[in-house]
Amino acid sequence: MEPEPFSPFERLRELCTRIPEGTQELLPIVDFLETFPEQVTEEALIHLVGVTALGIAKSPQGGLWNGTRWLFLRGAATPYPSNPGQGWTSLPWVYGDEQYGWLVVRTPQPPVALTLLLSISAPLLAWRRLEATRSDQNRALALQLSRLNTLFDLTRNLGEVETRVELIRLMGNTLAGEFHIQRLLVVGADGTVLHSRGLGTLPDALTGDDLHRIFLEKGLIHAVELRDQDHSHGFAYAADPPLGPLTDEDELFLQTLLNITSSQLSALELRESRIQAMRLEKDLELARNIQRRILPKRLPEPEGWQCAAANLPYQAVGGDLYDLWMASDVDRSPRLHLAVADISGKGLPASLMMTQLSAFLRAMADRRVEDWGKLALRLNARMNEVRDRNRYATLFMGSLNPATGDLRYVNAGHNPPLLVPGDGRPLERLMPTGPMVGLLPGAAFTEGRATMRPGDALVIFTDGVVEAEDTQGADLGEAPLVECVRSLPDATADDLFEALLTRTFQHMAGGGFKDDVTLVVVKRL
Amino acid sequence: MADLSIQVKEVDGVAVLRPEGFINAHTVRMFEDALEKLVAQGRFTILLDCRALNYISSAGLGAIMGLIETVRENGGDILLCNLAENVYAIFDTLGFTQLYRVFRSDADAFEALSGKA
Repeated sequence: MEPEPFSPFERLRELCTRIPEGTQELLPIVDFLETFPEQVTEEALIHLVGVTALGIAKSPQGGLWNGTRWLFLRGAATPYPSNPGQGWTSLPWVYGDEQYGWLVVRTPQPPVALTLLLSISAPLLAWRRLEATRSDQNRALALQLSRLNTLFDLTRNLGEVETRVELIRLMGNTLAGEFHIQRLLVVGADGTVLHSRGLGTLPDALTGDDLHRIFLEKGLIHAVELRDQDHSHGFAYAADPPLGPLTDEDELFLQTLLNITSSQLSALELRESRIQAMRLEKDLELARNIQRRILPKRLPEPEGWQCAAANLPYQAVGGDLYDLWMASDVDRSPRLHLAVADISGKGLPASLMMTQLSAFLRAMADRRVEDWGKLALRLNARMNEVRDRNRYATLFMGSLNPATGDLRYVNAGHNPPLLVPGDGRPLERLMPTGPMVGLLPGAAFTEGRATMRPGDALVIFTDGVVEAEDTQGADLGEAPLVECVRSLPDATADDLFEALLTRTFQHMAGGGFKDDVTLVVVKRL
Repeated sequence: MADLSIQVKEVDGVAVLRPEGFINAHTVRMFEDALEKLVAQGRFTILLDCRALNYISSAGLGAIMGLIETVRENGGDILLCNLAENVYAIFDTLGFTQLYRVFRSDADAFEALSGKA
């Protein structure tokens, strides 16, 4: 065993003991210097100063008074440093212009070492305080830095999160980590449970009473809403974090996290709806192409006849159909076949059924039709086989003999086409000769007949035309259409078509159609 | 990019989970799933051996936070050991050193655990 080398403090102590009488008073100072670095808190340092001071003064009574309270006290002492009383001494505890207080001690004559202790310990206290502040600042700084890092990490990775639940899970975990939250519940605006931690097994959705019960059972006393400018994504509920109340900085950080979550949720929704819209747009494009192929681009116009027709779908695609085509009769003479139909409903489903109806029509009536009533019967049977749910169609179809003007037709629940004579004869309305197709299996249809003379016009339309509303909501009706045709006896089919459409738009006075609109005009010159 | 891989093994009735790489926004899900799997299997004493862990985000700490109650209610605990300096700093900054038992080495952790048993 080698002898321990002398520490500087040992050396000092040795020197003190060799100095003549009285200087042993310095020994407590040496002890103080040796042990103060171990006093890591301000309280511990003050305590050491106090006990050392009483040791030097060899007094059982005294303390450190800071002007309002005792920082350290042994026995009883009077807190009047300016007038400590008989047999008491008071000494200021000062460093620079900072006064930490007074040493008040029961001793008539303060030893020199006492002053020395105070003058050594005051700067040490100042340094200790500075140190504490600096470590607080460092800690706060480290926290801010880590929070910045958290935000950076999140914003960098959030774009890769695919689903709402995943996003909320990530944010929930981040919150839990930052604020020591053990119990967390996130519920969508519709009550769906999007995320839960530390709450056991929960149902898929929570509303009213159930939600309330869980709040009580699990002590979820904090609620924040995840919201954007215009709508709410839901609420997050949490139990009290063990950190105690949030500081302003905590609040700010929490709000930032919530804002990021909300805006990211909105971005996800937007992404979703854009994908859906794109999918729908593809479907619509497909349907439009089909419709374009179905609706005749160039209308057949037999000698002495004119035709005009158009269809305005209410949405991108519609459920209205018109078709005009030439067919051969048994004697090879030409016939003008025409059809106008309105499938119930709008948009894509209606347009799909329209496509089918059109295919049936062309297949069944591409040559002479013996009896349009019977054809409607067959068509009805086919439509009943293929239709989905309660989708049906009103339909007017028939055949014109261009040479004679004879018209044979079937009207399956369709708006009566208007036969407007050019010579002042009364108007003829081609009334239904049967119900709608695709509605009643086994319904009966008969064939109707009419004749078109030179100068006559036939106007076939869907209800979108006659139900066009003005600003008060009043329907256009048939009368204006009839008037319009009567007022233009010499007009071509195209002119009539345009005039009828213009009349309809005038009625709507800037409003739009509320349904698919189809209009067909056939004029015999 | 594989930012994270996780090994799990059983040592003296303790589930030792060793994450390797980065636990960040990108990989936290995998870490949480691994922890949840252990809890679902009824392995409530879990030691996170962090010797190969380069980084842990607050979401990663949140994943631990969400399970600690269940684990401790079942008489278990989640302990940590072999934390790299920067990982310890994150841990300490967020106040987790006061909530969890952190050991210098796995040996220390096992010693503490056996003392408890």
